[in-house]
Amino acid sequence: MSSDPVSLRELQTWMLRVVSHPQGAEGGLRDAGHHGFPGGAQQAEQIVPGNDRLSPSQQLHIYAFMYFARLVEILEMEYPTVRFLVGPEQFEELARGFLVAHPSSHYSLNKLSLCFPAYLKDEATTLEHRAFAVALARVERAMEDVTDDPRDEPLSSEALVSIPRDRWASVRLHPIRAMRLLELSHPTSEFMNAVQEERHANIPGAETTAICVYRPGNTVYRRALPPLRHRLLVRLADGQTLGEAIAGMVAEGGADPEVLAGSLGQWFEDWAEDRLFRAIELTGP
Amino acid sequence: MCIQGTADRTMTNRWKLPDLGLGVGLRTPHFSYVLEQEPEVDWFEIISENFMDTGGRAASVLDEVASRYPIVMHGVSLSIGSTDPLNLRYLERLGELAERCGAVGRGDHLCWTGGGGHNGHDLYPMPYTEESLDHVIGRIREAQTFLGRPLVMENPSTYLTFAQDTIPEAEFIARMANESDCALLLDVNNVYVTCRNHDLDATDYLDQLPYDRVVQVHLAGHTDKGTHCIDTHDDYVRDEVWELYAEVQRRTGGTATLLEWDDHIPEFPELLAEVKKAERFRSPKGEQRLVQ
Repeated sequence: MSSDPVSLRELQTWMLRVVSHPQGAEGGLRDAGHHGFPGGAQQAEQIVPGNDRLSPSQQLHIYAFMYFARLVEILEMEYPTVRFLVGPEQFEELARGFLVAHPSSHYSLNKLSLCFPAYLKDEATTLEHRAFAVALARVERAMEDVTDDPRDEPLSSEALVSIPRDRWASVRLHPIRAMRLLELSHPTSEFMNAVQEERHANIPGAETTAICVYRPGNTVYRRALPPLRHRLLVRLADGQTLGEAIAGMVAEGGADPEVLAGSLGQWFEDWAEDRLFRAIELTGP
Repeated sequence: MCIQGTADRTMTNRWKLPDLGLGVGLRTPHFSYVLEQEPEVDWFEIISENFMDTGGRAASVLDEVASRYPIVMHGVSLSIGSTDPLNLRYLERLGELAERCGAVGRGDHLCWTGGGGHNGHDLYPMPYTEESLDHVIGRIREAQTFLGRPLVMENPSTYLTFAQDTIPEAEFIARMANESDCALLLDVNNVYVTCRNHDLDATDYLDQLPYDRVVQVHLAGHTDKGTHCIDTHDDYVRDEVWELYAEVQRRTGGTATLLEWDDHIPEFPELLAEVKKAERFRSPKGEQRLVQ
């Protein structure tokens, strides 16, 4: 039985639907059978003839297999700690669910899993330890993001120390662009370290924590941040001067001006060592 | 134009692009080795998308490598056969990257990678029809106008054919190249894989190609599954592919050659040793004199 000519668009739409079907090419062809093949074809052979060694379904399966294999592998590489937490089999299931719900629309595979943490949070509702998985995924996403951020030349400790004391309040510090500040529902550092070092990892209890993920050169780091340091860094990253940031923290509550004043020196020493800032801007007269 | 002392159809490319020699792909596991050891390889190919939209280590490594070696860009996301509009932002980024690394050439594959805004990140086969030929020719012209230079289009490995195909693949490629005025990257392993998968004669296939448009050759390993072959880029080049390569070098008179190895990637010296096997099939330098 012959079929009508199939336009290029129809053919591509059909084939992509078949090879990206969650149940593979067979599932895709089954669905196509229900909804109709392009060009009024009655069966797959009228579109993909196959040969004496491989049926149309087997040929399409080669592409269908590679579709998920390639994309799941990307997710496995980008979220190794989430994978460890949920286990490899469940992770693959999770990844496939994500790919079905959020197929790639960008030319770069680097953008494939931008919304994977949000998927875990909002759509993977039956996932065990979901809140912790979300926290881990956010950190791993941030690590991917800073890997590709533009590289800045970080300021030296000397440059930071050279700012006259009487100008500190009016100074605006610009963090390196390869930096992310995250507030998380769980502590993540110990678990991630344990997984990386292949030792036993305990799942921590819920506790609001903060972390800085940054890349001052070619290496990505993550550092847990105590609450006050986190609050100050968030404000500085938002473009506030040091004076505005401190005033804002005090007004917000929970930040004692004297404690802040006594701590700033050490904090900036640490941040300079971590090479978190790229520029100093002196505002005002 | 032909090469002195070789068969009539042995020609240099029409753009008079130089034979860059033997190259390999610039891959992450080799970054440190390449920077520290400066290995004796003639040129590097980059997968364009791996170096676009990034300011990270890959970008700084590329800057360094580009200051020492010629770079050829080879992409996987142009999707020249797709019915979606050409992605101009992608082309812009491609142009910026080429500028940044002083790329000698920029190319992609005869394929489509998605449609309806959905990217499958694979090199899907084109139906070989007059409709799709016109479509691809138009898109190549559009991309070339945008980029201001010829694209280098690669023949694909394919695992299925379409019932509506009316044009043999090699003829499709020849007409595509001639009518769009693009250059060709002849992937010899892809010729082998495609011919095995679709019961084609590789020599007949090679007979149909316009060698004055071939500016680069690819070599790679593949996996033979018995019923079909997969272009896996994960092993040594097989003898049957070397045989085809020898034939292609004879026909082109010596063309820049690259070894692709993307999975189970060996140490750099092993990779280099594999691509250098190609030397035995290439004319010694100095013998490729152009005659009018």
